[in-house]
Amino acid sequence: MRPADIMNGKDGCDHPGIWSCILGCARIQDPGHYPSNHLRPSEQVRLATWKRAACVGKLRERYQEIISWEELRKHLNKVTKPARYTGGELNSVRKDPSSVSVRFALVFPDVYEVGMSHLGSQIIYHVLNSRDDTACERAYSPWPDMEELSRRRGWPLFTLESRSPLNSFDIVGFSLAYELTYSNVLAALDLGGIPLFSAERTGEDPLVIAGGPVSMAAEPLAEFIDAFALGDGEELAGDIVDCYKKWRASGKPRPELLESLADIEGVYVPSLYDVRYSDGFVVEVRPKAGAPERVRRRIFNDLEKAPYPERPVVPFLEPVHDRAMVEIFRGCTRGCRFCQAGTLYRPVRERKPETVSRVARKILAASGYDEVSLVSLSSADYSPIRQVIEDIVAHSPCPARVSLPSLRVDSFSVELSKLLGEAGHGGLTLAPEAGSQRMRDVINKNVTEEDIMDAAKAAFSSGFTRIKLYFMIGLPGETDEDVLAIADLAYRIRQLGRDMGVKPTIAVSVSGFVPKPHTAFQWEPFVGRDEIERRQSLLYKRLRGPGLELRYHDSRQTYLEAILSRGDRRLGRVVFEAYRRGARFDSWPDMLDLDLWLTCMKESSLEPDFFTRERGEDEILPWDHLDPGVTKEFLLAERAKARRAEKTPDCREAPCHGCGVCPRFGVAPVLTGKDSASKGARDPAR
Amino acid sequence: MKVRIRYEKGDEQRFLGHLEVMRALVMALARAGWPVEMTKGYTPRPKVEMVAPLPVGTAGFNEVADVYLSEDRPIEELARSLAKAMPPGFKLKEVWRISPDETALERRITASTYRVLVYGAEHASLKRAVDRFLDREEAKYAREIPDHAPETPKPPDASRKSREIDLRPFVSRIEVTSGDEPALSSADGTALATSGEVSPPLLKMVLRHFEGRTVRPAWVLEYLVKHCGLEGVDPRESVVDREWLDWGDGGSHGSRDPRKRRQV
Repeated sequence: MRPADIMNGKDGCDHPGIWSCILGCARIQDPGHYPSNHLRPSEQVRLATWKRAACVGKLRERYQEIISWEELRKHLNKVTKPARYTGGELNSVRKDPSSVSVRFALVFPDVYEVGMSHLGSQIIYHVLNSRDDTACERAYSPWPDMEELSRRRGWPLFTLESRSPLNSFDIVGFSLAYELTYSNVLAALDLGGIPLFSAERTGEDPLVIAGGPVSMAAEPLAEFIDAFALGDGEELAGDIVDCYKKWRASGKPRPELLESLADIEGVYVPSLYDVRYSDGFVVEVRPKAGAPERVRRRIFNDLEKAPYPERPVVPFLEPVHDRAMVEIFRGCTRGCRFCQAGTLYRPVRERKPETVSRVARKILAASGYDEVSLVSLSSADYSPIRQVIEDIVAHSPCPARVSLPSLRVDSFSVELSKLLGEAGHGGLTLAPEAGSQRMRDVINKNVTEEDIMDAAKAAFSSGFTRIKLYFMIGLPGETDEDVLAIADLAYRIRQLGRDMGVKPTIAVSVSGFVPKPHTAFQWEPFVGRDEIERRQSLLYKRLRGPGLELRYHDSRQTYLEAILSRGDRRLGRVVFEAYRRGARFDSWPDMLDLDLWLTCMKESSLEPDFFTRERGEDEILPWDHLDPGVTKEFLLAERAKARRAEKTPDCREAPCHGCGVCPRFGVAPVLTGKDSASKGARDPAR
Repeated sequence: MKVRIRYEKGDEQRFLGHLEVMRALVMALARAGWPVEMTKGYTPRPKVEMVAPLPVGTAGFNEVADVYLSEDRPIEELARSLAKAMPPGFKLKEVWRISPDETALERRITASTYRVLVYGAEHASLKRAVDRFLDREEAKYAREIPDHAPETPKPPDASRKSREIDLRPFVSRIEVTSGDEPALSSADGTALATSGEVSPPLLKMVLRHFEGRTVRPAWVLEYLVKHCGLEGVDPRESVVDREWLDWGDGGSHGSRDPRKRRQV
């Protein structure tokens, strides 16, 4: 797809760039010009907004200026929560742009309060600002009212630290935490004055990169992002900056930059790969210009040595997760077959308990938070967890609570949360993920009915009255009985509570399963939106009564996520069109306009079903050239085991299962607190 | 131990709401090693009383909050450590111990002094509008309940579209000055300084408080636009700073003139 062709073909517009076409093209102001019969009334309103702001594109040069505080201050009263755009937080880093050689804009494509809760961004911000030659600044997606104001005032998307427009930076890096932010990525580029398509950027434009777990399969963004940073960013971010500096000093043209980036381990430059399709299927992904056949995910093996933001940026606006965060380990040993993070963060690497307590104390002192969360994919698995919690509570500079983001389903975890003093507040969250034992074996959630009932019993006896249970529906091989087993489980737990003399509330939260790349279920079909809704209502009919609550995810979002997460590059056209017609903040249920997305798919002659279907095991998957370390053979073996409802034990305890990460990438699990030399996890040889 | 804190919510943090300011103070106290006492009960909250809280968009150079601290230590020590721990954009001006059973300051506030940069207005026309306002016996202002963003739930009283209030008795002084007068901000006297172009006229207002009730400068400005013939002004675009809060008996500390106060 050549961007100019789309523009010319669709709109008959002779402007070469997207920029001028969306905003500056005079002809779009002609009401008859845009195919408005395709637009729903709400979209027309959004387009009208753009028409008012039509001059923005022409002011691109002005964007090199920093927006004056005076101008901002005068108008910000017109938007909701203006403090989202003013910055100046404690521990934010303002460097003089002239004192550094590389300016890096870190963009989180969601609203400020969400972005400020994201640990990965804080780490990258810290890593880059620790370098004397680099200034890293932050930007977040403007809420639609701010976008409208910006377009009307001619403001670009600017960073909080120096209020400079994105296109004045050397490198713009996106943090991709979930697929439904794709439209916001395009909005940020466009508002930042950067040509949307990688192919249209010149030496004047910033290098646009993206990182985060979604990067491991973000093919729909392949045409918009110059380079993806795969895996751990602690070293990788610096390597990219170094490479950029070297290229700039050499004075070579832009393509050379992309080629030299591709030499860095963990950097995927999508434009260096030609994708050939046949009947819609990917039949070949061919690297060009010496790019590696498969791009390996970067792993930073010794977390002890990893830089950590001990002075995190403390937002004034209350973030979604309003607490200090210490990452106690990366990776997970449990091997749940649906879990993408379970693959993408292998192998497990623990921090030493002394380090955890020391970092926690430092962060508390530097931030003033009254709570510290010990984050990881399964914090109760951290063997010295109890010791660490007691240590932090005893030695913190101010009275502080400790919390754990995810609990294991067993009585030990319940004891832990009692230790954390959460019992009085009634809420305990457990994630059995599936209702029947058979289904839990299929997904390799190594939790038995007994574990669940033990956990519930421990919870009720320690004073919890409210238990929240997380489940998925639409899992591979799921029958109606399996769905109804969720309700039965909830009833049994309620009964248990009643027998123990408490008046329990069982809050069941159900989300739709989306098959994710790089998991054992990456070949499985998405069951379909109607089917998800049918199973939801099945459950709704069964699960009623006093003390029972049922909540489920928006099936429209599940559906769109299912399309985008296993999509190929052709979806880029759809993301582009959806953005152009006003799609923003698709991860917010009341902001998502699914019909708009489906219309865009239809117009691009792409079938949603093609992307949600079951994939053939011999098929070339659109993300096969990105190597997470875990081998495809291992994933296939896991898939076969899932079909037999056969479990794979935790790799902390059992001998190595041979997933491939350790021998292939020359890394090893790092476990502390106990002598792990005899454990299988230490022995990658099969 | 109960203390009263006088602080500045500076120009660059004017867009914080009062809950955010409170959170910032509580966290600053925690960083200073002086944890705030928590309320008892199901959801403990920090015991902080924000006096006459400022709306979003308004800076305040001499704001006051009463805080209960869980430890009793020398006040000088607190002043030192808290001054260092204040977040960017905020400044500690004074802190002193008060009796725990002192009546709530909110009820004793008698007046607020504001300065408002009125963008879009000319000096003369603003003066005319102000004179017209001063001639009135009453100034009925229908306060519109703002539209809430789709993301926030509507408050229960959202059905009331407007509430009428007479602004006139609240306005004790209102006058137009040139914009050159230095601000009371000690952080930077440039808070209201404008660069380059002709600076917009400055409106000084002293607004009374009656037992905790008062009005906002933006409402007065809106009244000037709607009923006193002030043209070319969008009240949302004006920049409002509160310079000073007055309370009747002079409070439990020294001079009432802020310029003569001891600074920390």
